[in-house]
Amino acid sequence: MKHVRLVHAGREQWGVVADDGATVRLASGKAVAWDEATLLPPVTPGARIFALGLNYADHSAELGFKAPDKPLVFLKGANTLVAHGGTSYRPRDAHQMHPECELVAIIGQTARNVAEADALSCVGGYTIACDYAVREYLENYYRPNLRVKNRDALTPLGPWVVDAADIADPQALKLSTTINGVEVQAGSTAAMVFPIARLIAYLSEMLTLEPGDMILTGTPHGVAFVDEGDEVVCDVESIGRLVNRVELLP
Amino acid sequence: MFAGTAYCTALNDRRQLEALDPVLRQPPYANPPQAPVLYIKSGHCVVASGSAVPLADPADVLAVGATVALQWTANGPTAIRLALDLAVPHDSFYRPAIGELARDGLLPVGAATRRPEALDTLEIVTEINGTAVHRWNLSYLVRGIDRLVADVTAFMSLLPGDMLLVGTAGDRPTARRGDRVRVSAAGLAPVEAVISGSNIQAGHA
Repeated sequence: MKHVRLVHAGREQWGVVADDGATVRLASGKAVAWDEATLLPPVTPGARIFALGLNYADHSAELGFKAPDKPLVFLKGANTLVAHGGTSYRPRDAHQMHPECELVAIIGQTARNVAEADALSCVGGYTIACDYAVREYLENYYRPNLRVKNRDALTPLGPWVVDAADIADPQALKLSTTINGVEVQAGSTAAMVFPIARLIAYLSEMLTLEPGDMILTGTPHGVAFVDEGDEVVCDVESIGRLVNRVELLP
Repeated sequence: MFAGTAYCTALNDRRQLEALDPVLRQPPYANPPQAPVLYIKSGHCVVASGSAVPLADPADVLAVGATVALQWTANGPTAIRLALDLAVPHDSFYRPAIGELARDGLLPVGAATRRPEALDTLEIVTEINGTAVHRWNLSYLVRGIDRLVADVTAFMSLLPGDMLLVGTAGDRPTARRGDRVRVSAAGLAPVEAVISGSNIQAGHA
Protein backbone atom coordinates (compact mmCIF):
# COMPACT_ATOMS: atom_id res chain seq x y z
CA MET A 1 0.00 0.00 0.00
CA LYS A 2 0.99 3.62 -0.60
CA HIS A 3 0.36 6.03 2.25
CA VAL A 4 0.14 9.76 1.61
CA ARG A 5 -0.01 12.73 3.94
CA LEU A 6 -2.13 15.58 2.72
CA VAL A 7 -4.32 18.54 3.55
CA HIS A 8 -7.99 18.13 2.65
CA ALA A 9 -10.91 20.21 3.89
CA GLY A 10 -8.69 22.27 6.12
CA ARG A 11 -7.07 19.40 7.98
CA GLU A 12 -3.87 17.41 7.80
CA GLN A 13 -4.72 13.76 7.15
CA TRP A 14 -3.17 10.51 5.99
CA GLY A 15 -4.71 8.41 3.25
CA VAL A 16 -4.11 5.34 1.12
CA VAL A 17 -3.76 5.54 -2.64
CA ALA A 18 -6.52 3.54 -4.39
CA ASP A 19 -5.49 0.57 -6.54
CA ASP A 20 -6.22 2.47 -9.74
CA GLY A 21 -4.10 5.41 -8.51
CA ALA A 22 -6.88 7.92 -9.24
CA THR A 23 -7.99 8.72 -5.70
CA VAL A 24 -6.87 8.66 -2.10
CA ARG A 25 -9.00 6.96 0.55
CA LEU A 26 -9.02 8.87 3.84
CA ALA A 27 -9.48 7.37 7.31
CA SER A 28 -13.16 8.39 7.16
CA GLY A 29 -13.61 6.20 4.06
CA LYS A 30 -14.04 9.21 1.82
CA ALA A 31 -12.25 9.01 -1.53
CA VAL A 32 -10.70 12.26 -2.70
CA ALA A 33 -9.23 13.08 -6.09
CA TRP A 34 -5.65 14.35 -6.27
CA ASP A 35 -6.83 17.86 -7.17
CA GLU A 36 -8.92 18.00 -4.00
CA ALA A 37 -5.87 17.52 -1.82
CA THR A 38 -2.55 19.24 -1.20
CA LEU A 39 0.24 16.75 -0.67
CA LEU A 40 2.60 17.08 2.28
CA PRO A 41 5.92 15.31 2.80
CA PRO A 42 4.98 11.88 4.24
CA VAL A 43 6.77 12.40 7.54
CA THR A 44 5.73 11.59 11.09
CA PRO A 45 5.78 14.84 13.09
CA GLY A 46 8.83 14.97 15.35
CA ALA A 47 10.59 12.12 13.56
CA ARG A 48 14.33 12.39 13.18
CA ILE A 49 15.81 12.79 9.72
CA PHE A 50 19.16 11.02 9.37
CA ALA A 51 21.08 11.36 6.14
CA LEU A 52 24.14 9.61 4.76
CA GLY A 53 27.12 11.17 3.08
CA LEU A 54 29.34 9.20 0.71
CA ASN A 55 27.34 5.97 0.95
CA TYR A 56 27.91 4.96 -2.68
CA ALA A 57 31.54 4.29 -3.59
CA ASP A 58 31.12 5.73 -7.11
CA HIS A 59 29.82 9.03 -5.69
CA SER A 60 32.69 9.22 -3.17
CA ALA A 61 35.23 8.72 -5.96
CA GLU A 62 33.54 11.40 -8.07
CA LEU A 63 33.92 13.89 -5.20
CA GLY A 64 37.55 12.91 -4.58
CA PHE A 65 36.99 10.97 -1.35
CA LYS A 66 37.62 7.36 -0.57
CA ALA A 67 34.60 5.57 0.87
CA PRO A 68 34.40 6.12 4.64
CA ASP A 69 35.24 3.31 7.08
CA LYS A 70 32.12 4.00 9.11
CA PRO A 71 28.80 5.56 8.09
CA LEU A 72 28.96 9.35 7.68
CA VAL A 73 25.63 10.28 9.25
CA PHE A 74 24.20 13.75 9.70
CA LEU A 75 20.86 15.09 10.90
CA LYS A 76 18.41 17.40 9.15
CA GLY A 77 15.58 19.63 10.33
CA ALA A 78 11.95 19.53 9.19
CA ASN A 79 12.38 22.92 7.49
CA THR A 80 14.22 21.10 4.69
CA LEU A 81 11.25 19.02 3.55
CA VAL A 82 8.90 19.78 0.68
CA ALA A 83 6.24 17.57 -0.86
CA HIS A 84 6.06 15.86 -4.26
CA GLY A 85 5.14 18.49 -6.83
CA GLY A 86 6.67 21.24 -4.72
CA THR A 87 9.30 23.87 -5.42
CA SER A 88 12.91 24.08 -4.32
CA TYR A 89 14.73 27.39 -4.44
CA ARG A 90 18.23 27.97 -5.78
CA PRO A 91 20.04 30.87 -4.12
CA ARG A 92 20.87 33.58 -6.65
CA ASP A 93 24.58 33.54 -5.82
CA ALA A 94 24.91 29.76 -6.09
CA HIS A 95 25.12 27.89 -9.37
CA GLN A 96 26.34 24.52 -8.08
CA MET A 97 23.09 23.11 -6.70
CA HIS A 98 22.57 19.47 -7.57
CA PRO A 99 19.90 16.84 -6.83
CA GLU A 100 20.70 13.62 -5.00
CA CYS A 101 18.20 10.78 -5.43
CA GLU A 102 17.98 8.65 -2.30
CA LEU A 103 16.02 5.68 -1.02
CA VAL A 104 14.55 6.54 2.39
CA ALA A 105 13.99 3.84 5.00
CA ILE A 106 11.34 4.68 7.60
CA ILE A 107 11.56 2.97 10.96
CA GLY A 108 8.48 0.97 11.99
CA GLN A 109 9.36 -0.21 15.49
CA THR A 110 11.64 0.84 18.33
CA ALA A 111 15.20 -0.25 17.60
CA ARG A 112 17.97 -0.27 20.20
CA ASN A 113 21.16 -2.32 19.87
CA VAL A 114 19.73 -4.26 16.96
CA ALA A 115 21.89 -6.86 15.21
CA GLU A 116 22.42 -6.27 11.52
CA ALA A 117 20.81 -9.63 10.77
CA ASP A 118 17.56 -8.48 12.41
CA ALA A 119 17.63 -4.83 11.42
CA LEU A 120 15.55 -4.86 8.23
CA SER A 121 12.58 -6.11 10.26
CA CYS A 122 12.63 -2.68 11.99
CA VAL A 123 11.79 -0.89 8.72
CA GLY A 124 8.12 -0.02 8.30
CA GLY A 125 8.23 1.58 4.88
CA TYR A 126 10.16 3.33 2.17
CA THR A 127 9.95 6.61 0.32
CA ILE A 128 12.15 8.79 -1.91
CA ALA A 129 14.16 11.92 -1.19
CA CYS A 130 15.81 14.36 -3.54
CA ASP A 131 18.40 15.77 -1.16
CA TYR A 132 19.83 18.85 -2.87
CA ALA A 133 23.28 20.15 -2.00
CA VAL A 134 24.65 23.61 -2.76
CA ARG A 135 28.36 23.13 -3.25
CA GLU A 136 29.44 26.78 -3.10
CA TYR A 137 28.56 26.82 0.58
CA LEU A 138 30.69 23.84 1.62
CA GLU A 139 32.94 24.46 4.61
CA ASN A 140 35.01 21.87 6.45
CA TYR A 141 33.10 22.11 9.72
CA TYR A 142 30.76 19.24 10.50
CA ARG A 143 30.78 18.79 6.74
CA PRO A 144 28.35 18.64 5.00
CA ASN A 145 27.54 21.81 6.90
CA LEU A 146 24.02 23.10 7.43
CA ARG A 147 24.30 25.94 4.93
CA VAL A 148 24.74 23.20 2.29
CA LYS A 149 22.33 20.56 3.56
CA ASN A 150 19.76 22.18 5.84
CA ARG A 151 18.21 24.85 3.67
CA ASP A 152 14.45 25.33 3.51
CA ALA A 153 12.64 23.11 0.96
CA LEU A 154 15.79 21.59 -0.50
CA THR A 155 14.77 18.06 0.47
CA PRO A 156 11.73 17.00 -1.59
CA LEU A 157 10.27 13.86 -0.01
CA GLY A 158 7.58 11.47 -1.21
CA PRO A 159 5.24 11.10 -2.98
CA TRP A 160 4.19 8.40 -0.50
CA VAL A 161 5.35 5.72 1.91
CA VAL A 162 5.31 2.19 0.49
CA ASP A 163 4.90 -0.60 3.05
CA ALA A 164 8.14 -2.45 3.68
CA ALA A 165 6.27 -5.72 3.09
CA ASP A 166 5.73 -4.64 -0.52
CA ILE A 167 9.47 -4.32 -1.22
CA ALA A 168 11.08 -7.73 -1.65
CA ASP A 169 14.71 -6.54 -1.54
CA PRO A 170 15.48 -2.87 -0.76
CA GLN A 171 19.12 -3.49 -1.74
CA ALA A 172 18.23 -4.31 -5.34
CA LEU A 173 16.34 -1.23 -6.50
CA LYS A 174 17.30 0.89 -9.49
CA LEU A 175 17.33 4.61 -8.82
CA SER A 176 17.74 7.55 -11.18
CA THR A 177 17.40 11.29 -11.53
CA THR A 178 16.41 13.27 -14.58
CA ILE A 179 16.55 17.02 -15.15
CA ASN A 180 14.05 18.06 -17.83
CA GLY A 181 13.95 14.43 -18.96
CA VAL A 182 17.73 14.04 -19.27
CA GLU A 183 19.18 11.34 -17.05
CA VAL A 184 21.88 12.70 -14.71
CA GLN A 185 22.04 9.96 -12.06
CA ALA A 186 21.57 6.22 -12.40
CA GLY A 187 22.48 3.47 -9.99
CA SER A 188 21.30 0.66 -7.82
CA THR A 189 20.80 0.41 -4.07
CA ALA A 190 22.94 -2.73 -4.37
CA ALA A 191 25.96 -0.37 -4.49
CA MET A 192 25.52 1.15 -1.03
CA VAL A 193 28.73 1.06 1.00
CA PHE A 194 26.70 0.46 4.16
CA PRO A 195 23.37 -1.26 3.43
CA ILE A 196 20.20 -0.28 5.28
CA ALA A 197 20.49 -3.10 7.83
CA ARG A 198 24.01 -2.00 8.71
CA LEU A 199 22.92 1.64 9.06
CA ILE A 200 20.12 0.70 11.44
CA ALA A 201 22.44 -1.49 13.51
CA TYR A 202 25.03 1.31 13.63
CA LEU A 203 22.59 4.02 14.68
CA SER A 204 20.84 1.78 17.20
CA GLU A 205 24.14 1.28 19.04
CA MET A 206 24.22 4.96 19.95
CA LEU A 207 20.56 5.95 20.15
CA THR A 208 17.05 4.58 20.17
CA LEU A 209 15.37 4.63 16.77
CA GLU A 210 11.64 5.21 16.99
CA PRO A 211 8.77 4.66 14.53
CA GLY A 212 8.74 7.41 11.94
CA ASP A 213 12.47 8.13 12.07
CA MET A 214 13.85 8.33 8.55
CA ILE A 215 17.20 7.34 7.10
CA LEU A 216 18.13 8.97 3.78
CA THR A 217 20.52 6.31 2.58
CA GLY A 218 22.81 8.27 0.27
CA THR A 219 23.10 8.85 -3.44
CA PRO A 220 24.96 7.30 -6.39
CA HIS A 221 27.29 9.19 -8.72
CA GLY A 222 26.15 11.95 -11.04
CA VAL A 223 26.56 15.62 -10.12
CA ALA A 224 24.52 17.87 -12.42
CA PHE A 225 23.56 21.42 -11.56
CA VAL A 226 20.01 22.72 -11.74
CA ASP A 227 18.70 26.05 -12.92
CA GLU A 228 15.54 28.11 -12.75
CA GLY A 229 12.56 26.36 -14.31
CA ASP A 230 14.06 22.86 -14.27
CA GLU A 231 11.87 19.85 -13.57
CA VAL A 232 13.70 17.24 -11.52
CA VAL A 233 12.41 13.69 -11.20
CA CYS A 234 13.86 11.13 -8.79
CA ASP A 235 12.73 7.59 -9.55
CA VAL A 236 13.24 4.59 -7.30
CA GLU A 237 12.11 1.24 -8.63
CA SER A 238 8.99 -0.15 -6.90
CA ILE A 239 8.59 3.07 -4.86
CA GLY A 240 7.63 5.76 -7.36
CA ARG A 241 8.59 9.06 -8.98
CA LEU A 242 9.25 12.18 -6.94
CA VAL A 243 8.79 15.34 -9.00
CA ASN A 244 10.11 18.76 -8.06
CA ARG A 245 10.63 22.13 -9.71
CA VAL A 246 13.44 24.60 -9.25
CA GLU A 247 12.95 28.35 -8.97
CA LEU A 248 15.29 31.16 -7.99
CA LEU A 249 15.14 32.26 -4.39
CA PRO A 250 13.22 35.56 -4.34
CA MET B 1 9.48 13.81 23.16
CA PHE B 2 10.30 17.38 22.17
CA ALA B 3 9.01 17.72 18.61
CA GLY B 4 11.36 20.44 17.39
CA THR B 5 14.98 20.47 16.34
CA ALA B 6 17.76 21.97 18.45
CA TYR B 7 20.40 23.79 16.41
CA CYS B 8 23.60 24.16 18.42
CA THR B 9 26.38 26.63 17.67
CA ALA B 10 30.04 25.59 17.90
CA LEU B 11 33.18 27.73 17.81
CA ASN B 12 31.30 30.85 18.92
CA ASP B 13 33.56 31.51 21.92
CA ARG B 14 35.99 34.29 20.96
CA ARG B 15 38.86 32.99 23.11
CA GLN B 16 38.43 29.43 21.83
CA LEU B 17 38.34 30.58 18.21
CA GLU B 18 41.48 32.72 18.69
CA ALA B 19 43.34 29.83 20.34
CA LEU B 20 42.36 27.41 17.57
CA ASP B 21 43.08 29.82 14.73
CA PRO B 22 46.41 28.22 13.64
CA VAL B 23 44.76 24.77 13.64
CA LEU B 24 41.76 25.99 11.66
CA ARG B 25 44.06 27.25 8.88
CA GLN B 26 45.44 23.72 8.38
CA PRO B 27 43.85 20.64 6.80
CA PRO B 28 41.22 19.36 7.05
CA TYR B 29 39.71 22.80 7.74
CA ALA B 30 41.84 24.97 5.41
CA ASN B 31 40.10 28.17 6.54
CA PRO B 32 38.49 29.48 9.73
CA PRO B 33 34.70 29.16 9.56
CA GLN B 34 32.77 31.79 7.61
CA ALA B 35 29.13 30.86 8.29
CA PRO B 36 28.02 29.95 11.84
CA VAL B 37 29.19 26.42 12.71
CA LEU B 38 26.10 24.45 13.64
CA TYR B 39 25.26 20.91 14.66
CA ILE B 40 21.87 19.37 15.25
CA LYS B 41 20.46 17.70 18.31
CA SER B 42 17.10 16.14 17.49
CA GLY B 43 14.09 16.30 19.79
CA HIS B 44 15.08 12.93 21.21
CA CYS B 45 18.13 14.53 22.82
CA VAL B 46 15.97 16.97 24.78
CA VAL B 47 15.04 16.04 28.35
CA ALA B 48 13.50 18.03 31.18
CA SER B 49 15.61 19.59 33.90
CA GLY B 50 16.28 17.06 36.64
CA SER B 51 16.59 14.08 34.30
CA ALA B 52 19.19 11.37 34.62
CA VAL B 53 21.46 11.45 31.58
CA PRO B 54 22.69 7.99 30.59
CA LEU B 55 26.30 7.27 29.72
CA ALA B 56 27.05 4.87 26.88
CA ASP B 57 30.00 3.58 28.91
CA PRO B 58 30.09 4.08 32.71
CA ALA B 59 33.69 5.27 32.40
CA ASP B 60 32.81 8.07 29.97
CA VAL B 61 32.97 11.73 30.83
CA LEU B 62 30.73 14.35 29.30
CA ALA B 63 31.65 17.91 28.35
CA VAL B 64 29.20 20.23 30.07
CA GLY B 65 28.26 23.06 27.72
CA ALA B 66 26.13 25.56 29.61
CA THR B 67 24.38 28.01 27.34
CA VAL B 68 21.11 29.67 26.50
CA ALA B 69 18.67 28.37 23.92
CA LEU B 70 16.44 30.74 22.02
CA GLN B 71 13.07 29.08 21.66
CA TRP B 72 11.05 29.79 18.52
CA THR B 73 7.31 30.33 18.84
CA ALA B 74 4.78 31.47 16.25
CA ASN B 75 6.11 34.97 16.99
CA GLY B 76 9.75 34.12 16.34
CA PRO B 77 12.56 33.68 18.88
CA THR B 78 10.59 35.19 21.73
CA ALA B 79 11.36 32.68 24.49
CA ILE B 80 14.58 31.55 26.09
CA ARG B 81 15.79 28.77 28.34
CA LEU B 82 18.99 27.59 29.91
CA ALA B 83 20.35 24.50 28.22
CA LEU B 84 22.92 21.90 29.14
CA ASP B 85 24.55 20.94 25.86
CA LEU B 86 26.27 17.67 26.83
CA ALA B 87 28.77 15.95 24.55
CA VAL B 88 31.25 13.15 24.50
CA PRO B 89 34.48 15.17 24.23
CA HIS B 90 35.98 15.14 20.74
CA ASP B 91 38.72 17.25 19.13
CA SER B 92 37.67 17.19 15.49
CA PHE B 93 35.08 19.52 14.01
CA TYR B 94 35.48 18.09 10.51
CA ARG B 95 32.70 15.53 10.19
CA PRO B 96 29.24 15.33 11.76
CA ALA B 97 29.58 13.68 15.18
CA ILE B 98 26.23 12.06 15.89
CA GLY B 99 27.69 9.58 18.37
CA GLU B 100 29.38 12.32 20.38
CA LEU B 101 26.67 14.98 20.17
CA ALA B 102 23.26 13.53 19.40
CA ARG B 103 22.74 10.54 21.66
CA ASP B 104 19.44 10.32 23.51
CA GLY B 105 19.23 12.58 26.55
CA LEU B 106 22.22 14.84 25.83
CA LEU B 107 20.24 18.09 26.00
CA PRO B 108 18.58 18.81 29.36
CA VAL B 109 16.75 22.13 29.25
CA GLY B 110 15.18 24.43 31.83
CA ALA B 111 11.74 25.98 31.65
CA ALA B 112 11.22 28.56 28.91
CA THR B 113 10.63 32.16 29.88
CA ARG B 114 10.05 35.26 27.83
CA ARG B 115 13.26 36.54 26.32
CA PRO B 116 14.59 39.52 28.27
CA GLU B 117 15.57 42.73 26.48
CA ALA B 118 19.28 42.56 27.31
CA LEU B 119 21.26 39.33 27.26
CA ASP B 120 24.59 40.58 26.00
CA THR B 121 26.38 40.34 29.34
CA LEU B 122 24.49 37.45 30.92
CA GLU B 123 26.71 35.35 33.19
CA ILE B 124 26.05 31.60 33.18
CA VAL B 125 27.29 29.61 36.18
CA THR B 126 27.89 25.86 36.14
CA GLU B 127 27.94 23.96 39.44
CA ILE B 128 28.97 20.34 39.79
CA ASN B 129 27.96 18.66 43.04
CA GLY B 130 27.20 22.04 44.59
CA THR B 131 30.49 23.78 43.73
CA ALA B 132 30.65 26.51 41.11
CA VAL B 133 33.28 25.22 38.66
CA HIS B 134 32.75 27.43 35.62
CA ARG B 135 31.51 30.91 34.83
CA TRP B 136 30.88 32.12 31.31
CA ASN B 137 29.51 35.31 29.89
CA LEU B 138 27.59 35.89 26.68
CA SER B 139 29.83 38.89 26.03
CA TYR B 140 32.46 36.30 24.99
CA LEU B 141 30.43 35.24 21.94
CA VAL B 142 31.97 35.83 18.50
CA ARG B 143 28.50 36.33 17.09
CA GLY B 144 26.21 37.88 19.66
CA ILE B 145 22.62 36.73 19.80
CA ASP B 146 21.10 39.15 17.30
CA ARG B 147 23.86 38.64 14.74
CA LEU B 148 23.77 34.87 15.19
CA VAL B 149 20.02 34.79 14.58
CA ALA B 150 20.44 36.97 11.50
CA ASP B 151 23.30 34.89 10.08
CA VAL B 152 21.55 31.55 10.68
CA THR B 153 18.13 32.60 9.41
CA ALA B 154 19.81 34.02 6.30
CA PHE B 155 20.08 30.44 5.03
CA MET B 156 17.44 28.41 6.93
CA SER B 157 14.24 28.91 8.87
CA LEU B 158 13.68 27.89 12.44
CA LEU B 159 10.13 26.69 13.00
CA PRO B 160 7.97 27.14 16.10
CA GLY B 161 9.26 24.52 18.54
CA ASP B 162 12.84 24.73 17.28
CA MET B 163 15.69 26.03 19.44
CA LEU B 164 18.95 27.78 18.68
CA LEU B 165 21.70 27.30 21.26
CA VAL B 166 24.02 30.26 21.03
CA GLY B 167 27.31 28.55 21.86
CA THR B 168 29.33 27.03 24.67
CA ALA B 169 32.68 27.88 26.27
CA GLY B 170 35.82 26.36 24.80
CA ASP B 171 37.03 25.60 28.33
CA ARG B 172 33.79 23.98 29.48
CA PRO B 173 34.15 21.51 32.35
CA THR B 174 33.49 17.78 32.29
CA ALA B 175 31.27 15.63 34.46
CA ARG B 176 31.38 11.93 35.23
CA ARG B 177 29.15 9.19 36.56
CA GLY B 178 27.17 10.24 39.58
CA ASP B 179 27.82 13.97 39.18
CA ARG B 180 24.96 16.39 39.74
CA VAL B 181 25.18 19.36 37.37
CA ARG B 182 23.33 22.63 37.79
CA VAL B 183 23.38 25.67 35.50
CA SER B 184 21.96 29.02 36.50
CA ALA B 185 21.81 32.61 35.30
CA ALA B 186 20.04 35.67 36.64
CA GLY B 187 16.40 35.83 35.60
CA LEU B 188 16.27 32.37 33.97
CA ALA B 189 15.01 29.05 35.29
CA PRO B 190 17.96 26.79 36.24
CA VAL B 191 18.60 23.46 34.55
CA GLU B 192 19.86 20.42 36.41
CA ALA B 193 20.88 16.89 35.44
CA VAL B 194 22.40 13.83 37.04
CA ILE B 195 24.98 11.92 35.03
CA SER B 196 23.88 8.32 35.30
CA GLY B 197 26.10 5.28 34.96
CA SER B 198 23.32 3.17 33.56
CA ASN B 199 22.21 3.03 29.98
CA ILE B 200 18.58 3.51 30.94
CA GLN B 201 16.65 5.68 28.54
CA ALA B 202 16.29 9.17 29.93
CA GLY B 203 12.77 10.54 30.37
CA HIS B 204 11.84 12.74 27.47
CA ALA B 205 10.67 16.29 28.01
